[in-house]
Amino acid sequence: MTEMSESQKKALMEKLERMSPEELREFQKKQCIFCQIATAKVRSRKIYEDEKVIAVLDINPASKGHVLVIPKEHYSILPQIPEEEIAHLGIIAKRLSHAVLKGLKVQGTSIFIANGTAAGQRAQHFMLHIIPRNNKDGLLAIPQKHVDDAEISKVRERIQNKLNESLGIKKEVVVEKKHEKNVPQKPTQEKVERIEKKPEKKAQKPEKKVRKQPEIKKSEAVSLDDIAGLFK
Amino acid sequence: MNNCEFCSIVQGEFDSETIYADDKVIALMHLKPAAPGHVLLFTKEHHSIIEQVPDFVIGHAFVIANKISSAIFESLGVHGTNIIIENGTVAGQMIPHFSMHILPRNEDDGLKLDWQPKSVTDDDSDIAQFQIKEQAESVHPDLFEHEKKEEAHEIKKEQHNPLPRQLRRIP
Repeated sequence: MTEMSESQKKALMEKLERMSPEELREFQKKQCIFCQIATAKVRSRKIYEDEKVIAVLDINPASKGHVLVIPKEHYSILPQIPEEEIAHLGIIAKRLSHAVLKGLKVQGTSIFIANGTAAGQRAQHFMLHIIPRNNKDGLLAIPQKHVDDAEISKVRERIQNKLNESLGIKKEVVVEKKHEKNVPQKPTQEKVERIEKKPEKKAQKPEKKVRKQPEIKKSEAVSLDDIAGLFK
Repeated sequence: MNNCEFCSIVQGEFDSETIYADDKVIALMHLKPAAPGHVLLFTKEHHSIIEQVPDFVIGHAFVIANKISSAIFESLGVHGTNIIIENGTVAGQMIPHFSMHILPRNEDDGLKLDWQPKSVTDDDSDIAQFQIKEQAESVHPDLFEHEKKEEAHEIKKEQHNPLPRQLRRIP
């Protein structure tokens, strides 16, 4: 983008402030590079496309073959996206992760979503990352910290009450404040009742025995069982 | 699956800080969180990696993960969330049971979950694009039909094995 003078910036800010939410969204779309990728106005290395999403290679990849799955509609963060499209995104992510494993013969992928700049989001258009992973690449290690059980219960209470509210479950979770002697620390409420009334799916495929296979030879095609079999 | 930590939680063998459960997925507080409010969501059925999870379960898991992420935003007042799937041991997955991490984030929380861009030559990118695209086509030639197929698949499965799930759980 070209540099703007102070007066231009000021005029732009004023214009933005006067805009209705719809106009603002329209304006954002015009400015958004990923909307232009979605409509092929900007060239990209395309991997996949359907009516809802487009998948391209990231030009600033964490590793070779880093794929971005981008909704064609302009959304900033995941909570703005309709549920149907979120489910579709998940399914496409699964399938493209499979394509990455097979195509690049890597042994794993990280599927990564950042909502908000605090979470590392860099563009104002929502996207899902599929990052090919290799041993010792040092990427995306989620640390494990020791947190007091009482602290976890307290945070749980807040999240769960908000979640229940959004799901329409009328049940308040109260974490017991006082811990009596010899009584293990435990929230007083039981598990959340099932909200979905659908009957359980009865038939499920019997579990396939996963062969133990400590290492995958690079030259061979990588099968999912092999990757699953890397666990000890 | 025997000896699977997550399957044991599903079967109620351990106390856990469960925040949500339905017939497909369960979500609970991570007991060694990266940050307070770190939630772990996993499938009730045992599947090692995402590629083995049926589509309708994946779609549902993403929808629930989003609801939990929204609840974290609103209840903790954080400025961001990450949803991360570690798929395979090289990606940091420690338990061979598909799961999703939902993490609350703030600007100065000290979590290093970003990356430096890696320089990849244009040729290498072209090759990677070709290799992935080729698989994306051959693995899933029928992407638009997946929902219909799913339904057909489910019906077939039910006819195939009429035993209730509970019964088959008994070792």
